Amino acid sequence: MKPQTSTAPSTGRHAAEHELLVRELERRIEILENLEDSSFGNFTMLDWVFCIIAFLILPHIFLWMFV
Amino acid sequence: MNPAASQPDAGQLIRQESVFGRLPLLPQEREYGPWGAHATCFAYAVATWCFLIGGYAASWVGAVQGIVCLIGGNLVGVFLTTMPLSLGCQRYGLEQIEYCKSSFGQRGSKLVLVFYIINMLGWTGLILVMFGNGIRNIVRALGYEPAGWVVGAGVGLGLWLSYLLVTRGVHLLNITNAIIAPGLGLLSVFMFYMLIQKYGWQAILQAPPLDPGPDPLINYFIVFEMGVASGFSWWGGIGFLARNTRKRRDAVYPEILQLGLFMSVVCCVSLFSALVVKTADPTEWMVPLGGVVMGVLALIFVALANVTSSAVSLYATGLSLRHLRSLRFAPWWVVIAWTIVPCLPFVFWPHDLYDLGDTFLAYNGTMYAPLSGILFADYFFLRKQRLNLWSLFDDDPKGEYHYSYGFNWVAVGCLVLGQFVYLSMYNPLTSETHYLFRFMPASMAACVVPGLVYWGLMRILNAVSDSPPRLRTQHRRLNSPNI
Repeated sequence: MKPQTSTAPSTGRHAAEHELLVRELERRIEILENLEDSSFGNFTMLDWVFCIIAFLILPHIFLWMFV
Repeated sequence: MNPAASQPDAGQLIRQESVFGRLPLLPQEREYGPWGAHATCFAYAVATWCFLIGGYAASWVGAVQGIVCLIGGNLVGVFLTTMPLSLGCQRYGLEQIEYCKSSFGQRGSKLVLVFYIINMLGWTGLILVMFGNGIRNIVRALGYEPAGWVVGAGVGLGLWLSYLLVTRGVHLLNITNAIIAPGLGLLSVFMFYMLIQKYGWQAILQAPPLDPGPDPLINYFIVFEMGVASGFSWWGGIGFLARNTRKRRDAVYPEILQLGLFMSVVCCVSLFSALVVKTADPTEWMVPLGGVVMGVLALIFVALANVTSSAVSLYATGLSLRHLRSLRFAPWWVVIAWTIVPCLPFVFWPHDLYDLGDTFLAYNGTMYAPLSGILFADYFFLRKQRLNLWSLFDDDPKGEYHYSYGFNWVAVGCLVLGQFVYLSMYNPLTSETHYLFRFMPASMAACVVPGLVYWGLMRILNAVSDSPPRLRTQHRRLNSPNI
């Protein structure tokens, strides 16, 4: 069944392009949904601790040191 | 290059729509490893707006406090805005407006788009006034007294040049950026060297602020707020960079270090220059610092840099306008022409609008701080870093992110709440502050409060499904694709 497109264009060329994009979009979603999280690299608890200390806590400590 | 060029073949169309458009990027299509991400973020960070921010800071505080506020504030703002966007956009290959649909709804994300466009066009206008000021100061350095309309005419010329650059091709834009970003970095080093040579470190440290308010403590916190808000104002560029990275750390650290740390270092050089030359206008430092020949050359270079910076903004705005149905398939030049219209007031009232630059920075805080808080709570605490891609691209009213008529009113309400919190703590137009402003920057409060309220209300309303998205979305097709 042809999908009911909310942004479907009216002219012939654009309609063909749009249908191609929809098919490609579905293919990509399928791939991305099925990829394991680990294939996108790690961001561990240690990264979080480092980021919170370096980019959130330390700037505030320095702020109050120079009041 | 027109992102939706005429009559491309299928492969070309798909590549254009993935790289420049809205198709999610697959891991093998992504361009940036760690070095590529650092280089791109550096090119993005070191732009002429650094000179503007440093100049504005010099009005309120001296060098030491300015360093603390600009570096510290920027890091805090970039960190809070980067984390949900970077990790979310990187995992799913999305650009940021698409990503916002999970929390704001299919139509609600268009509200965010409006914020984004105002932000980009505001920066474009300010940068082009700097371009106009540069032309005026070049004429002055050559011994002539320019007429008052020169700056406005300069803005008009800058808009025209930016339009040509954006409509002639992204390749041309990439080439000019490859020259301009390192050039601005070198210019900053040169300016710092000349500052030390000419004035000395002691003079920089002792230089008083240009136009401070009566309470030094409040001045200090206002500049910290300015730093945090300028960090938040990177919101618009983060998704674009993150979706192009292959690994999570490549999405997070380059953005925080380049957009947060290195950008503020360049801001600090402009802060020092403004303090010793005693003007907040960056185009007035070059001749006193470098002499007539070097100064005029530097001014010409900065003027060119302003055009490429504004062209990048117009380009990004043009891409985001593709989200609007009426402009989805419009010719690229028409889309860019529409981005220029809201910049026209800068042609007629350049000085009045330029003087509101620090207010504009604060305005970025009112927009992006609550947005960042909501996205933080949504992505990490409610959705546990899992999005439903099928629902993001589906306008079906039964979709997970359709909410009520396409709007998640909880998120929209929290966004308004964030702006109310911000303006209660700090009024950027009058510089009036609440007592609590001494303990927490307005942007931080405007980020944390809506984030917490959003998290609480969404839990109470049970608006986020507990089952993993993959289980909910197997073997689905898009019923009403919104690409």
